[in-house]
Amino acid sequence: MSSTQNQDTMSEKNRNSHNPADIDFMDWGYCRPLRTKFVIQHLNLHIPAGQHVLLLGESGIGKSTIFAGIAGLLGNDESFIKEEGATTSLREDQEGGLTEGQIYIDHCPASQARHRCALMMQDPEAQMVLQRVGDNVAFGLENLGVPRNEIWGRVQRTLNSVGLEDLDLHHATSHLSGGQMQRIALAGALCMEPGVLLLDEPTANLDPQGAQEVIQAVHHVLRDRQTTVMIVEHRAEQWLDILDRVVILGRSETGAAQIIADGTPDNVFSDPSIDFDSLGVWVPSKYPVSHTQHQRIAKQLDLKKQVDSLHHQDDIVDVMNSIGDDDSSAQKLILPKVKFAKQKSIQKGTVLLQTNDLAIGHGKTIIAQHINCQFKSGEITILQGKNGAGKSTLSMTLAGLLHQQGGQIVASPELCKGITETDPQKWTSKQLSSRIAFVFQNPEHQFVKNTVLEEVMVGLFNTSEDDSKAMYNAHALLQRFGLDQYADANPYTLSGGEKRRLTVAAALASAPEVLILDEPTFGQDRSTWLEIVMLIRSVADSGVAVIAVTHDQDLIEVLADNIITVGTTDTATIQVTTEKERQEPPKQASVSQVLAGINPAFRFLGAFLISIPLLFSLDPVSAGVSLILVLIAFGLIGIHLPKVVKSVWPVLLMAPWTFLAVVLYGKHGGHTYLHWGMIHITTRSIWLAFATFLRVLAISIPSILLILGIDSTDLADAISQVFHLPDRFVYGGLAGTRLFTVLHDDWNDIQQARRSRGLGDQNKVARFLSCGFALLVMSIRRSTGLSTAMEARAFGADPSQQRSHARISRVRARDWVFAVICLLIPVIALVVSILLGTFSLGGGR
Amino acid sequence: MLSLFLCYIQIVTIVRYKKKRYHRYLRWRPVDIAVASVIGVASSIIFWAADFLPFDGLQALIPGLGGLLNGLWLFAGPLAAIIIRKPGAAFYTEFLAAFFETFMGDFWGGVKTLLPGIIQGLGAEIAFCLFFYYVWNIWTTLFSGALSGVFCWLYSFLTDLQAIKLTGPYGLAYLYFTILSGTIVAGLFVWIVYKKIAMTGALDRFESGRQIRDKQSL
Repeated sequence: MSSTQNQDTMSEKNRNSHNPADIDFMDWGYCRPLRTKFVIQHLNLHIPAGQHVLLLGESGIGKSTIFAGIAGLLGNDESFIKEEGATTSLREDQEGGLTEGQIYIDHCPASQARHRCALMMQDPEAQMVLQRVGDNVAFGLENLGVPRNEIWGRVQRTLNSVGLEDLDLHHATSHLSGGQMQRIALAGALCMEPGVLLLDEPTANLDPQGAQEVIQAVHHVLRDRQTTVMIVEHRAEQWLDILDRVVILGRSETGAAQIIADGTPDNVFSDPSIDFDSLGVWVPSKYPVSHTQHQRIAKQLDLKKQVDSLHHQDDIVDVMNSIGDDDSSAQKLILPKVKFAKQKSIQKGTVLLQTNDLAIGHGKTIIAQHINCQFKSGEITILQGKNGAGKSTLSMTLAGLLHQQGGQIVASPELCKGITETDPQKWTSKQLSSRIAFVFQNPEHQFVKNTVLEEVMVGLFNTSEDDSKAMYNAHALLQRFGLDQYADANPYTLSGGEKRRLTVAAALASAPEVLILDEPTFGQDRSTWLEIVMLIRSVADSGVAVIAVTHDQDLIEVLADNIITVGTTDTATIQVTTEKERQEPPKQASVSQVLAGINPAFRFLGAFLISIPLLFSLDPVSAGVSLILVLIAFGLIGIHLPKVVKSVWPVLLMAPWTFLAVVLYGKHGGHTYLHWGMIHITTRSIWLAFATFLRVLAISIPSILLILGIDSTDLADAISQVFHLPDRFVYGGLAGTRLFTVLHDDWNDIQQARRSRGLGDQNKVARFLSCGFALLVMSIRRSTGLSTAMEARAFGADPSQQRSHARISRVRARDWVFAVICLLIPVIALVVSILLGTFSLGGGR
Repeated sequence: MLSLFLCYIQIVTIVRYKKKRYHRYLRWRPVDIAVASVIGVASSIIFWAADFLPFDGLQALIPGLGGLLNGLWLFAGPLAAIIIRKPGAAFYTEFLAAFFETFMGDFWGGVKTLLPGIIQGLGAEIAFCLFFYYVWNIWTTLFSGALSGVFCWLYSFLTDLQAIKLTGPYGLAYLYFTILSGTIVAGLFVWIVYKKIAMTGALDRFESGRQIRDKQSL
């Protein structure tokens, strides 16, 4: 009865969610934790069901906050009323944020309508919750409690609709391209048949091809699906033809976001009264305003060039004085250049770095060879190509951070500045940092200090200036990058654009001749983008050879002096070998076929059953009998002795030490062989040591072999379905395991960043601690991202909702037989020891 | 004597916190679960790396000295507890870290990693539980680390070191060294690391992070 009722409400829910929902902001506002000012205040906006809306505005204005609000992710945790006003009430949530007003999804408060909204975010990697493609898409459906028989049909249909029909459901997500991952995230969102689809910068982290794939997929699914869509994207261009409405946010006098423009794309982008530049908005090329935008960039760059040449030989102070305080924009343009003009004496156009028949790759695989190129002082070289083509490998090899596979990288005498070694790879970290600087894509990988000021000082100390001068220069540098007000702030607390500027400032602090930037404009709004472009130009003009890895076409257009294309096509400057379609043989769940067929939960249970009884008696007989029985049993299921030794050898190395400890310090009795201080070797201690040694083996060997090779997803399913442990914790833990691979890559980047910043020569312990801490911070940041991704798939949305299971974990008769055998082995062993009279609880008193 | 003292402290703190009408959230949010899990993952890597240390050698040659290293396998619980501040955080994370360690292929054998994980996690958890999850300061953290050490010691003598007298000189030396290591590595060091992480703003979604950052901005 109750189950049919359940299904009825279930199907009603599903029917309901086919329909697009309308969104209503009623005087809504949010204040982030630890801030005194609201990001958004008194927002009133109505979005009718089925409308497609683009939300624009500069970075940090609160677009993502609005999305989180709609998705019901803000203020939903036992929030309590902090202040009751006449019209509105302020609610403080567990996150420490304050919410005012309300957002309604179809007249239902957003926090109770979480199943109606699906959110897709910027970072493809962060949205992959589980290991396999199909499981990721099904995750949201499970959280909604959709019955299993419906799940896989829906998953396959949605994967087809986003153009991923060829992808095997068992494919591991870690081997996919960014575009594919992002489409899986889209499928995961669509699968839930949401009334509202929220796309938060879905293409910002993708190369042009990946972005195109995602945009096409969205276009395609919107053709035959009725849903309300909200998109945040800095570049409106490619979304224009599906948009009904554009809303632009700007700052009010209080600093909170307010709606500046609202209307159809044609109306908004043709409105001459809107200052798109100051709002950080890119206008699509079909509107006239965009042309003036482009002209302005060109003009600004041009103006800067003129100014640069005028003052080329001048000293800092003169330039500062000649401009005066009133013309701040002109000052901003010139300032970054000044420092470098003073110290560089290298002629522009001098070759600083060149490669001779270079071959690059990771580990032992060569991805490209016969590379010959030159990098000249004062020039900007762009490395472009698809994601994963090998641009980063090339740039890191050039930066002396990766080993080349063949050929040479030669630094010119001007770059070597007195070192005889010409291969950057062989320089010490300190030598490297004052010659070639590398700015990583993720700024957080390279932070090493607690304050912004110290961060810059690291580089200045490397150029061995004295303290006070370094301090003075550090402040000057921060001022030039507009970061001086944050001098004492923790670098991690800056905004995205500020972090990026800080990393460039920190890299320049050690006055390198070559600056390499990895994706410097990734996901930046127009104002920050422009700032970075100016910065790169002025750095190059001061005589630095700049190498930028990017697929940002606008950046290439305005900055490139030379372009190197890395790719597989004929037009590419550097040919890379095509990465073979990875063939994934199904992973073996055990060294033995028999064990692989046992339910994972039972394998764990078996490991315990086989070991725990042995702990009662400490005697060589019970341990020895059990060990022999275990080895025979393993032999019968195809795990022979050599295989056993291969899997458990560390235990064989460790066990003798335990033996020794018991021989020397064990309970004594019988004949004394040696008594010296605490050491007391007796007949009994030797007997007990022998027993301990055998028991260590009898416990360790089966428990290692029984568990070895279990797939984590299968195990989580089994634990949830067999042991009935709470799903939230089981699948939360499972999602954590996916970070193993991600953190591994982070670790490599963090270490290379240390080398590039001149800190790679530290002693090992200090380096380990500093990298370890950076990794820990990184992992916590990633996990908060992961939890948002999970919540966006209705994870933990409704505690009363029973989660369904897409995968069945079966318990068969053979699993019970297996458990009984596991228990029988130690029981037989104990019985034998009792019969022989050697049984002794805990080895006796 | 000790238990009376503990009772006294317990009552005093509870009265104090009740008076302040301190708001205590006990239900886990998804972000709590995610962060605990990831601390578990990160810790398991360190646990695993620590397996390479010459623990058994030290253990055998100089009585109890191996105990000095034990803290390296104890810190996950107190660290997660002090960050997340939810009932069960210490236990869940310590257990999970041990669980992941078995998954990476450890030296001891599945059961012999999981079992101490469970026992040490319980130890770390009890410290906060005794104060009804009201008190999250350096003292409870140190206490948690130390208690976790005691449980770790107890575990050793219930299994591999059954043959050695618990209260003999070796047993006591091992106890002292383990408590010392637990208090320093899983207590003091954890507290420092927690404060440093909080200062980066990574914990702004947690009461624990905002506490530190509030002070910072003052």
